[in-house]
Amino acid sequence: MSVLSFERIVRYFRHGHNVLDGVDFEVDAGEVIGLLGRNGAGKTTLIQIALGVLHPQGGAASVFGINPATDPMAVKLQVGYVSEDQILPEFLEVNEVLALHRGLFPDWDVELEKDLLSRFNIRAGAKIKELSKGEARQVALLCAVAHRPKLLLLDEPAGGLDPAVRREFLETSIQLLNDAGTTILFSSHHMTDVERMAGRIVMLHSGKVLVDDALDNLQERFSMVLLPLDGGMTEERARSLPGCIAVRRRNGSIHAILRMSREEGLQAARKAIGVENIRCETIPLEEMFIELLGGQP
Amino acid sequence: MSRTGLFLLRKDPALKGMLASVPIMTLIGLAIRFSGGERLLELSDPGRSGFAVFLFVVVWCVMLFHTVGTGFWSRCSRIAMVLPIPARELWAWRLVAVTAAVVLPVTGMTLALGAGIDPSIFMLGGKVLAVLLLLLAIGQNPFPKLFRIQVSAVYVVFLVFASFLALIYLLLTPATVVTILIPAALALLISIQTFLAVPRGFLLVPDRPGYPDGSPWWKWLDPPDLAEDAGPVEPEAAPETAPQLTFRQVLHWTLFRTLVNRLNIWLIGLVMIFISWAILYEFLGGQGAWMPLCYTPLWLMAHFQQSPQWIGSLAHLPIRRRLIFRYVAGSMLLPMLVGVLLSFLVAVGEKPVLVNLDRKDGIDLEVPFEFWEIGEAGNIYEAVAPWGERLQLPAYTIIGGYRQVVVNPFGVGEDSSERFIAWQQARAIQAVYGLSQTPDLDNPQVPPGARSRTHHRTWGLILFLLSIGLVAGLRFSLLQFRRTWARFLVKGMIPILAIPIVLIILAILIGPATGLTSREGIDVVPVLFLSRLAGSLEISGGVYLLASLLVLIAGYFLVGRTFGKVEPDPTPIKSIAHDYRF
Amino acid sequence: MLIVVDPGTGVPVYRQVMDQVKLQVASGRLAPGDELPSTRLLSTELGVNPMTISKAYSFLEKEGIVERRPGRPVAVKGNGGKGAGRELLRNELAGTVTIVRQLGIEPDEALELFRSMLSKIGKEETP
Repeated sequence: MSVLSFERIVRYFRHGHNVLDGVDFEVDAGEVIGLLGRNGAGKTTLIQIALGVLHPQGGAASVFGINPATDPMAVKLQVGYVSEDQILPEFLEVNEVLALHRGLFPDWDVELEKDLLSRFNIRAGAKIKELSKGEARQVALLCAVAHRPKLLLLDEPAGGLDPAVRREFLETSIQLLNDAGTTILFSSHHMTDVERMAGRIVMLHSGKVLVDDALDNLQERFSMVLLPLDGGMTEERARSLPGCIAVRRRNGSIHAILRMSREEGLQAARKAIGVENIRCETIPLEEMFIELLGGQP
Repeated sequence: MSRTGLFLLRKDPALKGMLASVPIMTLIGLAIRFSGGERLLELSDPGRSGFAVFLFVVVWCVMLFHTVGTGFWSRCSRIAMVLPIPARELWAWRLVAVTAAVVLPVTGMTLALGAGIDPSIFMLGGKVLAVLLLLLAIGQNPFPKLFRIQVSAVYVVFLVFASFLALIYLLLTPATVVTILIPAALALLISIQTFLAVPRGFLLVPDRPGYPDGSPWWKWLDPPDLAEDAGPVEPEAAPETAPQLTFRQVLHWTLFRTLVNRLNIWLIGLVMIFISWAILYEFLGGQGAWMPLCYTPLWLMAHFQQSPQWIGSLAHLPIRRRLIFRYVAGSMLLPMLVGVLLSFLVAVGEKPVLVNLDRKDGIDLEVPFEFWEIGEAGNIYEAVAPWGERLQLPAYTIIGGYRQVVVNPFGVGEDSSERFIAWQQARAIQAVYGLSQTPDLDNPQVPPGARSRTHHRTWGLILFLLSIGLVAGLRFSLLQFRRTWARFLVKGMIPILAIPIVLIILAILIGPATGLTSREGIDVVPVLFLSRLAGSLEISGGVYLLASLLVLIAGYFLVGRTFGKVEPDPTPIKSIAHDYRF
Repeated sequence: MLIVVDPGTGVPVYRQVMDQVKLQVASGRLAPGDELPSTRLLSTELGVNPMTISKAYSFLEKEGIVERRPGRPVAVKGNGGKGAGRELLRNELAGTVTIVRQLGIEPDEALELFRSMLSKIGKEETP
């Protein structure tokens, strides 16, 4: 049974255009989904719909079989949520924030709380407003995971954090994955984090799911051919390569993104162009993101 | 005016805040003057010190509002700080904006209160202004280093203390040119000192930790640069055995801090106390001016309309909306209740009656507006006593050119004999309470607890209609439409509803002079109309009261349900002064 | 066992893990019977999704390099045959070959360079 499903989610934005225009995908238990998209692509909106904070104007979301729009309480109790611009009550002490969450979540695991608190090395008596950005986010993570949720919704959880805190964040999530097979849906602009964590990538673009595939498949199915400019190579010729989805000119060569693996790409390019000195490389997710979403309006 | 100055002024949030505060303060002034609540009217009596206190409190509240809302406590914005503009210039323009933001609303209010009544109100307003400017000058902290005036606890206590002294000064000294000039001159001196002390560039954080501004207030006479080095201050260790709050305490404290403890809520709450008080007092012992009735729904709707912005930070937590709603609604219902209770307490002490002989200026026999009559323009209306004494009753225009007028049939005149006045009073009591009377001016025979059927059912109907309107309005103000224009309509509803009120106040202001309308006409006609409606419906006041109560209780749950579905406003709470704060 | 993962290269993480295990097996650094770290441990150490490690292990198992035994750590089974080392080198050299072409260096010249570099490393390792 899917832990989380979105069925033709439609959500209009204030200014009239659709943020989400029929988003459709399911998440199975134990999956780690990297939700990618440019700023304003609707990642936050989608996550908040799953949390029941925003209501879809068309379609329905389902979390553990519960519709978050009709029973947000039940969803919130079973889900952990961290977001970049989440505000912890800054007038409270860490202690008090923990007491608040302990009371709100009946399944709160005191052992895990203690464990994480000592790992993050946060003073329990400190006021939230005295904490650094990284520490505050760690408290937020603690609050999101200490009730051992079966689903974690992370909205740009590492946004604005230094690499050390980001890694700590990653490791805590991995620990949860190991311990309980938690399902995770997270959005991030740190592509290396996504490459480490995600099993599957969902890319949103202009309100729709543009890509929904296993990360490994994505990486194995796309490649970039570097074509030297000499020998009359033009962008048009590059574009006519089989499976070519994007072409870019870069100092001295033309880069063509092909929808095929590295070996296939190399052979196809050699065959099509008849030039031998062609290189074909795998594409980091970051490049793929830029190639797939960067050029589009 | 330099281009930099214009740029800084244009960007200054204090001036933007003023766009709202000047009309609001002017409106409050007008409302006090024309709402007809006698208690409120007394505030505009310059002979009483109550006015100064009231004005000061209101103005101080507005200033506090500015402080939080528009960043009074910053000497320049963070953005301006990094521009190549001398700190002195930054601060000077900021001061111009801040001063304007204090001066103009108070001026507006004073003008609204005093125009055409008594010029001595202006002297009093001037004194209040001068004192406020002095507080403002002190509040700028005359030895500045930081771009922002750091608000330490000591500093706040000092300011509160200073404002108490200022209040005492306001109460004890007469309003003369000298008492205005003294605080004004002091304010000027302090501002000059501050200007001279402004460094070439502001700092973002204190260069020595532990010193709020590099200049604690007790070191003002000793400029901070020369002060001995305090050395880095260890961050104070939190006591390990801090008293632990229980879950419930933390939960309610969090809800209180996020949903209730907002300056504008405190301000509106204060106003709500006054309004509820005024309304009930109008019903119990006044003629029944209806204007204050309009304010409550408007304030409440504005309150609920803003609420989606406040719940955002709690949205992801499994806290029941019902609980959140209790806080959002309670923060307004409680002040209203307090106002009603206060009014009851006063009523118990004063035992107000509905027929009052007012000899304060001139002589007037006041009866509730339901007992006025509508007549035709041009006719002469007279009250004729059995013994032949007669009085021509004044007829008040409703709308200029319109044939009908309103008349108080129980009017008395300056030349009326005591016997005539007693006769009118007896007649009025008989009409209002339905009690038979023998005319006796000093001992009107109104037993305690006497009720006026007409008055009660009229006001019962008003209350009933009002509660239905209130519930509908509140539900409407919580609707979140998809279409931009519909959202705009919801947002614009309050201004739209406020426009008639402003127009009526304007009409009252210019009406008598132009013959367009009269104060009495506007006050009487709606009440009289509803009184006739209530009379034809033949339902008693008690039934209306019960029905209103039911509507309000049902409304509480209805609005609560709508509130339960409200989405938190996705735009983060961002005041116009966002970059003026840390 | 030393495994390093570089997520920014575009090579799937599970493939990186597989290649490094294969390399170590082919080079003899891991002998049949040697135990590999658990999925849990390796994923925490590398900071990657445990499913990825699991995937790498099961592919390695399919290729007959490791063996998964219920209740016990994953262990090296065989060295993947004689050609395994050659195959790995082949993959590594593919990119080099293209560069040699692009630079227009004659095959003999390239081979000479390759040979001299190999002998230099040999000298350094056996002083």
